[in-house]
Amino acid sequence: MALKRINKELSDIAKDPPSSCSAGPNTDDIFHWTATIMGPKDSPYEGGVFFLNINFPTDYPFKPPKISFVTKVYHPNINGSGSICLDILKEQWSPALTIPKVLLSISALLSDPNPDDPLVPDIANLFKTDKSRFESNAREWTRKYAQ
Amino acid sequence: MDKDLILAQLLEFGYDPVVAQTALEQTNWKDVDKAIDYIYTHFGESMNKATTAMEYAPQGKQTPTKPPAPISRSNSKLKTSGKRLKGSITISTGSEEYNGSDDNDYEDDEDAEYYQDVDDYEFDIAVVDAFPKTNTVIQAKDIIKTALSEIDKIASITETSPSAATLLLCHFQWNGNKLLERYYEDPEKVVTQAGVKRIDQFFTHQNVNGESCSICADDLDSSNGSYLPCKHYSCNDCWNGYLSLKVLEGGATSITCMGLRCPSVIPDGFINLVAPTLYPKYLERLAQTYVDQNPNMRWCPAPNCGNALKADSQTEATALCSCGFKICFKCKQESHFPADCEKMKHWKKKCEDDSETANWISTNTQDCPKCHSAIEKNGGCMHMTCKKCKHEFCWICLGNWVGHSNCNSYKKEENSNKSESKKQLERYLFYFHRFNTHEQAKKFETKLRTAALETIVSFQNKTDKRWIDIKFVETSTEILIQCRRTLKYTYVYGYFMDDGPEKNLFEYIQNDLEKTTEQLSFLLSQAHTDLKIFDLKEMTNLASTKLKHLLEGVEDGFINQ
Repeated sequence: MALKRINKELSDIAKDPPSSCSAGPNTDDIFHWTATIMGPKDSPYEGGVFFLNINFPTDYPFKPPKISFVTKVYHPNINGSGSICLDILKEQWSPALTIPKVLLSISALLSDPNPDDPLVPDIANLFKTDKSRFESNAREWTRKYAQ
Repeated sequence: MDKDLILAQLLEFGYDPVVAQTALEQTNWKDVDKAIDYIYTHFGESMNKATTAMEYAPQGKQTPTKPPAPISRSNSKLKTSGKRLKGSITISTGSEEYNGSDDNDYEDDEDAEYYQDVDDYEFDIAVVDAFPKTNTVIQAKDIIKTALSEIDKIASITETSPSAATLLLCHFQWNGNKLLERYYEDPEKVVTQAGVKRIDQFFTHQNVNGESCSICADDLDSSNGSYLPCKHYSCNDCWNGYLSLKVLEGGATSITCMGLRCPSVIPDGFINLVAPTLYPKYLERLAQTYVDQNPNMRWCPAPNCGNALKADSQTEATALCSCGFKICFKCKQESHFPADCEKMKHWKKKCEDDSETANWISTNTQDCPKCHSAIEKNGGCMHMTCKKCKHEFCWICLGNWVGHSNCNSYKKEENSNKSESKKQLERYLFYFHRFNTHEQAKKFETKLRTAALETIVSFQNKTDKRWIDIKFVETSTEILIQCRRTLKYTYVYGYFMDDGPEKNLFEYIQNDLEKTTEQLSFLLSQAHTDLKIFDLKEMTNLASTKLKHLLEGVEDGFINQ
């Protein structure tokens, strides 16, 4: 089941590649993918290319894939080890979701951080109190790590 | 032993001073047991009738802290032979001995009536009555049935389908009364909140031409499409995979549709049709939430039991399972009366803190006090006989069994130069050791139950014993287990007790119960070869009464009784 579904997603991506992101297995192991997300326009991440790791569980799509950033990101909902705090990757996961849809959600999270449910409280605090400093920090990290 | 002390002890038990003096002289002031034996052989019943502890109080010579033999209904029903129980410090008491006591007069008529048609069956009840069962035990196999009948009840009252009733109940955490209250206030609102709106509409095994499964993208034109009114089409295989995962994760009450953020709750009828093999497991999970969410219910924590216990009210402190396990309703652990939950928490923390030392002290073996061979105790009473040197000793205090009387109170060493912390540790170890000894002894309870059953089976074909008598071994075993459990926790209770007359009295009663328990344990361990049914009944009743007294004392205070 999982294999069939992952293969189908792969062929769908090949047929109709999503804009501003890409994904696919980097080795022979089809349960392990690498993905990229382009920093969204009009965000401090613009111009950066962010790499992510995707691991599919054996009971995919009934269990969510494990997705984490490889590139360092300065963001209230993404921590130092690249873990992402996003409800659809946890309790709100639905088997109807696919990797392109999830990557789009992550891209939306980059444009629109959720400081009320933070993974890194310091960054969330700065985002709320001094947005311009937050943005310059994020730009700095993007320049340093994602370009 | 000091002569005065021995005499004082005898007086405390309610013997006439002249009789006691004579008996002690005749037995060379050796020990109390011998003197009591002497009294029984030479003075017999007449002595018993002549004096009671009650009559002694006014003379001021000896103020009995508590009559040694408990006065209680169950005990007064005991047919006594006047025969002394081996090693007991308590005189067997028949009802007539207490005629002098005012508060017992009212029982005389009842007792007279009782003796007219004495029946052993009633005797059995008298013992068991000391521990009334106030809770219902729902056997593991009946839990699903009980949960389903609850659902049916709500379905018929609210005039909805069982699926809807299940959802309603789950929404209200199985609180039927609250559900009905809210339902009658505003049925529309309740139905919407619980997501019951279109619960009974679902479509399984359909041909959905032109649609494909939203999960695996297979075409749905060969009767394998199933969906809820939200129209998230999917094939039966995908539903099966999704539902098995959800049910395995423990969800039964609110499995929602596979669609992204779709609130439609999947009705049980849908599960039954789409994943019939999963349905029994689903019901199991449903029943689990029925017990988990009900504040009046608890799972029996005994290994491999699986029964659920239902108390009649939330104020119930303990519940007894049919497997014999008794739990504390509050902390869901083994019943720990007389120690309360707070004390148990302290005690456990204490045990963890001192675990290194405690481990060292509480390993499973002890050395024989005479020949120092390591001995492992694997059952039976505390009366140990070393296999090597035949030395008889008490497993708890390691003292000589002959002349062994008190070993349950911690004696403070005077004039010692030990540091305060060392003394504290020793005090703790003293209590821990005793706690642990009873814990170890209790661990054999399954063994005890099996042994009781074996005894019953081995005697059932012999004509010289009555069936009712043989069955009594079971009752005795249960009482023994209860005594052991209570004794275990009395050491937690004792550890946190302040010194004073209350504690002295508590320890006296504790010691008394401990001795009776040992004798009962001994009789039971002999039962398979030598079933002394009368002794066993007497001892069981005695133990049960003493246990009751201890528990009552803890509840109401010992001094004020």
